[in-house]
Amino acid sequence: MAIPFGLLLIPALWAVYQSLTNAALAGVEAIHPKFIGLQNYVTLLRDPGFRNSLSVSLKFLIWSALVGQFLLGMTAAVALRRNDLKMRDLFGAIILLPLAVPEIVVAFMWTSFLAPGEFGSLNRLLRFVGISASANWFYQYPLPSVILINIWRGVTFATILFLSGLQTIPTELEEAGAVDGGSPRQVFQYITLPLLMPVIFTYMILTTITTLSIFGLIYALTRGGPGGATEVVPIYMYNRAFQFYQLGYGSAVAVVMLIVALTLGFIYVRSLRVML
Amino acid sequence: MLMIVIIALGGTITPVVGQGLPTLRILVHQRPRIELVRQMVPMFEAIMMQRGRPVKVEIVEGPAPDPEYQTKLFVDLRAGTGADAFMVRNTFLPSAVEARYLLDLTDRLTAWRDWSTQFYPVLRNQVAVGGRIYSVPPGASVMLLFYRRDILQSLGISTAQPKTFDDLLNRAREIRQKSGKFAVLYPAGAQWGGGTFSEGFLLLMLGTKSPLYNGATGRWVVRSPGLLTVFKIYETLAKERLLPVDPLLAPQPWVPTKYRMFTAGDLLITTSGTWAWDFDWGPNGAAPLPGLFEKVATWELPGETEPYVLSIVSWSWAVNAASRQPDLAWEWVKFATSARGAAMWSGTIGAIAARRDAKIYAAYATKPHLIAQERSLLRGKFLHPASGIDRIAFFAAQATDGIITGRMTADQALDFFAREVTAALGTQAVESLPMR
Repeated sequence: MAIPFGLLLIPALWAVYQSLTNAALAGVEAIHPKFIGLQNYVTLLRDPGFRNSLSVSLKFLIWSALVGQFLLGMTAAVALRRNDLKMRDLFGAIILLPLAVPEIVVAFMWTSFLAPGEFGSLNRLLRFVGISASANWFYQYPLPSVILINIWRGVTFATILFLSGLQTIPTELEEAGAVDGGSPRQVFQYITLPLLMPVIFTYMILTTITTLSIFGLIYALTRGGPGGATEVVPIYMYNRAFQFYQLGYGSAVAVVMLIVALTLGFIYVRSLRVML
Repeated sequence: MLMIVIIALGGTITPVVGQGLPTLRILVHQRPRIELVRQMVPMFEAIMMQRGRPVKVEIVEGPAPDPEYQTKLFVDLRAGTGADAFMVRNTFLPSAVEARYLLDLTDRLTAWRDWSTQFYPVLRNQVAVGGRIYSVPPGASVMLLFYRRDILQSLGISTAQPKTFDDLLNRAREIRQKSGKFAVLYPAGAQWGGGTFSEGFLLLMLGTKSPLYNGATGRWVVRSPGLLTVFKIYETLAKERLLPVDPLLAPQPWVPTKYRMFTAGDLLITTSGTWAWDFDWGPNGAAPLPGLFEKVATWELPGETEPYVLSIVSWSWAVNAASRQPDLAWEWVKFATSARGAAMWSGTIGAIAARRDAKIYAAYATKPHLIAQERSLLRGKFLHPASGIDRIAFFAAQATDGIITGRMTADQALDFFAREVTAALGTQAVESLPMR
């Protein structure tokens, strides 16, 4: 009890307190921070940079975690569950590989893969198959590039979670559905998916919280650029607190993020309870 | 969030001190500087041993990119784990002084004869904050326009000094028209960090007739005809594709622009400091350019009416105000900025030595292109660092980012700059000049 209290509650409460001050990493405010009430939050609401980062975070969450990782993870889990899948072990190993690679290595790997002009492996591959490509992926398609990379990295977690959920569903139920004339799609839609819902919601809660707090991967790939196109909220928060030295303002961003994550988590949990 | 809290609560963690000999921790970043300090440390330790004050120096390597280094420095200092001596960027001097991170060296410098007799007065002024001195520069730079003489000549384009902004823009248009290459680079955008200000924005701003800082009132000028001129130049450069915008939006934008495009001849003019001769394109630089002195030449910086040069102190040595051994740290600063130290620094980094007597050492005496610029250093304009300069630099970068990405016009960028700087510094710290 003391550890969660010490590591979670005290920092959170301190961040709330600090968000009500003009504390800074440099300048007079570093020595004499003043209590400024809700001024940081008022500024935050009017700040186009923060609104942009919220929008980027939302798109990043929806497309990379809730759509990309979910669909691919579910597809991979369903495929891996099939006994007749050829080279199942190899397929499983490939799916698991991204989770074994450290975040920064992933970033460097993809930076190299999507590098512009002839430096990029993807451009070279495309040229090899006869497509003349010299795209500058991180400039021309910054957010889609980052989303793609996060899908690649996160699909393992979704697969493992869904596969473990699928393996708890008695096969007799699905076989009975098939015997009663249900097509594979109908069996999946009306029997498998409803039974898998608790796992799906657990996945949604976990992936929402972890995706909203992703920092290192995007920072190493683009640092939030170009022009704020991939500046998710954690990067925006880092920039304000540690590049512009506004610790108070950065804390206000952190508190808002905490509230957003808690709210989403609460909604998921409530929905899950209603379903059960 | 936890990181912010730990830093905010900081101030209680003490650095480890080695057994026996006192240990002096020195923070330095970027490979050439680290290697240089590695060379200097044994000399310093030997000198201190001879004086009967043996010391062990521990080099702490900071992150290579300047913004990350500056962040680490301030985080360490705030948390009470800062090195005893370190290099601080001049634009961050005032805010570091206000945060009481730096030891006041004024009295020590007054007692050190070299300070008044050997260091150039223009540089002594540049590191003064509120009349006090907190850091000592080993070298300085003159900011210039570097151009590909070989390619301009082959294109039949004049290599005469462009005197005004209009001259430069017309020259850039001619380059674009005749070669299709990007013409000119003034660093812009958020990705270049502090360099957007000190290597781009400031070079245009000091060429205008408007001041950026009003020394008489002690206020920053956040709206002026000169500021609008600067933003309009950026707008023109971006709109007419004279400036390579895409690479400026990537992390470490100096790599694709100054290191790749300029050396490959795909970018023909760039701003830079005199360090570029060695640190950037020299044989041991980041992107060596064979035949450098035949292929590249320099112009002074064009202004609204006439060209000028800008002298800047980028980095200087400072002592942690919370150091447990300030006297030892001060000895290091004296050594690092001694005639030999300044010569080694200037020879390695490609800076102009901050002191007159550095020329007696071969490390600097063998750099005639740097020594030749000492006269420019003395007559160069400079911006005195005042409180809030880091915020000015930050919002200048943000405003230019808006312009080059097409999110803001020049007028909108001026409004943004005035609004954000005023919000950050307070109305009492800023003023506006009448627009023409």
